[in-house]
Amino acid sequence: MSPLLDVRELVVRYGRTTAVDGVSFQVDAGETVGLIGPSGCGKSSTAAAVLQLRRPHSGEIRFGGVELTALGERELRAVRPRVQPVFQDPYGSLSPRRRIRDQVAEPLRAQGRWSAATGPGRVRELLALVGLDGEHGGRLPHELSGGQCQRAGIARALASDPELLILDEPVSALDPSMRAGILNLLLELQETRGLGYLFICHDLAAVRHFSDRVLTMREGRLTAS
Amino acid sequence: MPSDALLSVRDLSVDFDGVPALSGLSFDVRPGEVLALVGESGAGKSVTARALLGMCPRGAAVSGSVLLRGTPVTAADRGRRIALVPQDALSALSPVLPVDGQLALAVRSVQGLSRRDALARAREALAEVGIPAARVSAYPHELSGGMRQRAVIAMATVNRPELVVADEPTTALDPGTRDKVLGVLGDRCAAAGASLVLVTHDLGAVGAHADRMVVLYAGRPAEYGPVDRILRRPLAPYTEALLACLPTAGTPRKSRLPTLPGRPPAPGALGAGCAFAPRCRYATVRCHTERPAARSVDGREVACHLDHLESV
Ligand code: SF4
Repeated sequence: MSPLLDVRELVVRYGRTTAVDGVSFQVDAGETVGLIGPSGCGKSSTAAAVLQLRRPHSGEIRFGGVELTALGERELRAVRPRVQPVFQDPYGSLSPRRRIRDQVAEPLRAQGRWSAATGPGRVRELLALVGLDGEHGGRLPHELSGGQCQRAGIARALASDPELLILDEPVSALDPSMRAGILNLLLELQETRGLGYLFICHDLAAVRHFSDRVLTMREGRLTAS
Repeated sequence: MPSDALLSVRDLSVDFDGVPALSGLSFDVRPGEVLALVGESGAGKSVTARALLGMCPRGAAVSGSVLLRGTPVTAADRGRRIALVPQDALSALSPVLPVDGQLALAVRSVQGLSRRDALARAREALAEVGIPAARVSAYPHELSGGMRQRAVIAMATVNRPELVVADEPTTALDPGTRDKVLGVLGDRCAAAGASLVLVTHDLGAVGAHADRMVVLYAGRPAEYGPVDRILRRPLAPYTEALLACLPTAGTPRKSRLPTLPGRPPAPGALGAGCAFAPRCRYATVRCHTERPAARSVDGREVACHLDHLESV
């Protein structure tokens, strides 16, 4: 079986600087690959390329066997929901003025999967999946704790029925107990839904605990670890 | 009370409109040491930082004492004997002056150097925190978050204060640069001969950078003592529960981590007993009715009723 994500010889450039310089790795369904390295080593550029936020200069990114770099904008639109990001700042990645349930509903609407009959129930299901209830759904982001807000961000990512989550420092802004709660939630979601994770994190103990394999990046390349 | 303390905090309490945000905090900061103030969001860390600098907002009722070498901190001490490194670097810098210019002003106002010497000293200080010579005349908004925080560290230490209070100094930064910036902060304080009070929720940073620590829960001190002892073997049930949330080398891969049940109490919602009682696995009837006083156990202060602490 081909891996869920298969990155080969990825090169990402910004003008004349090469941020990612020939990186290859795979992520299987149900697997967590940790990505560590000093800031500026190319981790975030790798993530941006996998999320199709940044066109690579060269190399291949195969997702579910489909080579993404060859696709046009219209075909990419069909793939994008299957790879979802979860970012560090739970408040910054949600809109401050919209209720949580509307933000979780947004991907459903955008992908034409919303109906008045099934939509609200689906949103409640997604919130329940991350340990939030309808009452949380009615609140604004600043009315939630950092951990609850990060849960809402995960619920929104799950609304697209993704197969791969790009976790970019998802617990760095949180207190220890909330951190542990989010890591537990992600482990549980992975077990029940077979999600693949690319986990970017600076906390070595957390990366070792949470990942099946750890890749180290330095100056745009993977180093033997 | 040890007479060698630089800063001596006794029974510090802060109320906002009758709602206690901090209650009964006592600790000392020794010359040259790094003391960490640890706790979750809402534990009273930032209130404490402000109170140390005598900067509590209007409407706050402050009691207890904060003495710097035996005398209360005054407005005139700020920026001279005691300096703040806030979480948000932009709040500490002027947006309309290049960083070397504003540092030079600070140097001149305290050290009375000539304009030229002050600018030279300012640029030297910026080099010492790792800002490249080509960037010293940049405006704050032109610098990255990490560089801005370095500039604030230069600002806080350039006049050789006795004490620097850093309030979550790296929380707003990219996680990859946090440790470096904390390293710079520690180095510059050491070079200036200043003690550092490091307010943080990051226990990894505490282990790497601090000598002693105060653990706060719901505005009350839970445990206070040497970092190595507390991290190796926490005695207060709250500290123990907090540390248990963090994976260590021995934690089985992909196992579920312990979390603290429930939520911290809302300010003002504390009952008569121990603030941690509703979430504490050791709580007894006494814990719900009587607030534990701090006791000296195994080289630290622990606020807890538990009997087994005596036998440590
Ligand atoms: S006093 Fe009681 S409730 Fe409080 S930490 Fe100790 S055992 Fe737990």
